[in-house]
Amino acid sequence: MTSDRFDELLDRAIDAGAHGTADDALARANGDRREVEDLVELAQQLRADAARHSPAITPRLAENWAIVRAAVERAQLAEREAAAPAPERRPATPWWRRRVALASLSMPAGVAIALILAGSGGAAAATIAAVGPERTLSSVTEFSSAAVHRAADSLGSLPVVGGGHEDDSSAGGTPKPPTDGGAAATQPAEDAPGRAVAATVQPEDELTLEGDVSQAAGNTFTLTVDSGEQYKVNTDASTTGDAVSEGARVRVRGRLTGGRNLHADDVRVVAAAPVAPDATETPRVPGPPDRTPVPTPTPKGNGSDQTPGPPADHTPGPPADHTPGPPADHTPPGQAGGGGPPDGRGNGSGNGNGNGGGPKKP
Amino acid sequence: MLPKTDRHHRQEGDRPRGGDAAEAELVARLQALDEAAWEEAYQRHAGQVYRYIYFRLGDQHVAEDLAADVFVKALAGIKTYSWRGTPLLAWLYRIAHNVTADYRASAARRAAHSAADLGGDLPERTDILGELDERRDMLAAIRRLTSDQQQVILLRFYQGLSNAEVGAIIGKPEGAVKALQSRALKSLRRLLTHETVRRSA
Repeated sequence: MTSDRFDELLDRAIDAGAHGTADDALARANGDRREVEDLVELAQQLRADAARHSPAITPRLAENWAIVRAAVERAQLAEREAAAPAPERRPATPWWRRRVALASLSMPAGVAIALILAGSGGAAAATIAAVGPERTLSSVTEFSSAAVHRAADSLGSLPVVGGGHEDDSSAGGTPKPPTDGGAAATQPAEDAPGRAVAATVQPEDELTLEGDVSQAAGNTFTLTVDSGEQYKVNTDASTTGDAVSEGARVRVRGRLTGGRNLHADDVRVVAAAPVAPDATETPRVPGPPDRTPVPTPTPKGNGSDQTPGPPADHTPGPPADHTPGPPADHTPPGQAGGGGPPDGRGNGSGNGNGNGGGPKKP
Repeated sequence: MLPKTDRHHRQEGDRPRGGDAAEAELVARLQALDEAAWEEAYQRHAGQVYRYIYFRLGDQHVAEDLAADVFVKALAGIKTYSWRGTPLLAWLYRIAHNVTADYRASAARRAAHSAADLGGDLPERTDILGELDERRDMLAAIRRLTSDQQQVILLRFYQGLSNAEVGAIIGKPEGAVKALQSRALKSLRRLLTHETVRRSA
């Protein structure tokens, strides 16, 4: 009998023995009947033992349900916590994060300050690069000098008690027109002796030069100022003023275009060319450049001018500063600055900007 | 709480027909962590699990505690359990088998420590206690069988399960269960005979 057949026969005999009908199964066992009978009997003993000694259900087993129930509740709680969205808890900000936050706040301020500083520096550098240090310096110097001169002129134009300008005051401040006869007396300070050179620098690189015309050809001529410096003056259609002629004394307002080249915006003839050839050959002594501002037509009294003017002539006349001065005006530098001869025409103080310097470069 | 009727002698075919739907529903409720379902399962199967553990270990109090432990472990693994027609009790028996094996392993370690302390006194005392109850010979012989043979003997004759049910629990086909049953009975007969001869001597 094979092993499988024995196992099958034994199993059937055991089941039949449980119902008390194992004889049929044992009858099929043949040679193994004895062994099968023993095993079936053992199986019945096991069943009987289980029935006899089966442990009773104890109260403690029932009480252990509490253990299982607690486990179920824990599992339910864990499942609810897992299903519920995690509450947003704001973790306590550590100190280093607070410092980072502070740094992040100050960062934009720092960037803004850096930009401002960089912009200021850049602007300064660009200004210096565009203008150039020398140019900047001269511009500042010229501007300062012009301001001083204007202030001095304003001071000089104040009426002097006991002076010859009572008419001005009586006229209620009406400008006193210079007359031909009193032109010299009413000449402004810049035309005083020693102030022959009338080169004025305007604040914005604008020059006003006064000098003699030479080499006039077409729209160019050479302007020789009293200091001896020569400027090449160019005129064009935009230039206003008078026509120039060789030997005339003109006042040119314009801008330097490079070196000694001056583009004239306005040209005014101060004195026509002398008819007599001798007059043109009047020796001129170069003097210091005159930084006196361009005199306005406002007639001004001169503190040192004690000559009374015409009593009743209040008609405005041509500016006194257009009157050519006498040859004595071309006093060498150094003397003019300190005040010219007390001829009663120069103020000697306000215009004493001869300042002993040499020719002023534009 | 627990059913008063002792169902451990249930014979093959005693399982109520048409109970698969109810079993499936119970499993679904267990997986939903329904406390009432777990209470129902405990009332229905705790006694059988307890007896199985008791027959394997022979200690009533330990069996009571381990029976509850089986349900706690079942709770931990219920989410991964899929019901495919196999009775829930078969799954509980498998858990009980593992729990019992773990307990016996740990008990063996404890016994080794105790034997080291007590010297040669332990075997003597065991023999004395064994003589107090003949039934202990039967259980002692069963516990000397292999693990699979023990399960087959206990499930087939102490729990009253069919070969198919035993096969579902131990994960073997029915023919293998019959073969295990046959070898287990032969081994048990030999052990009991040897024990009887030793006692007679």
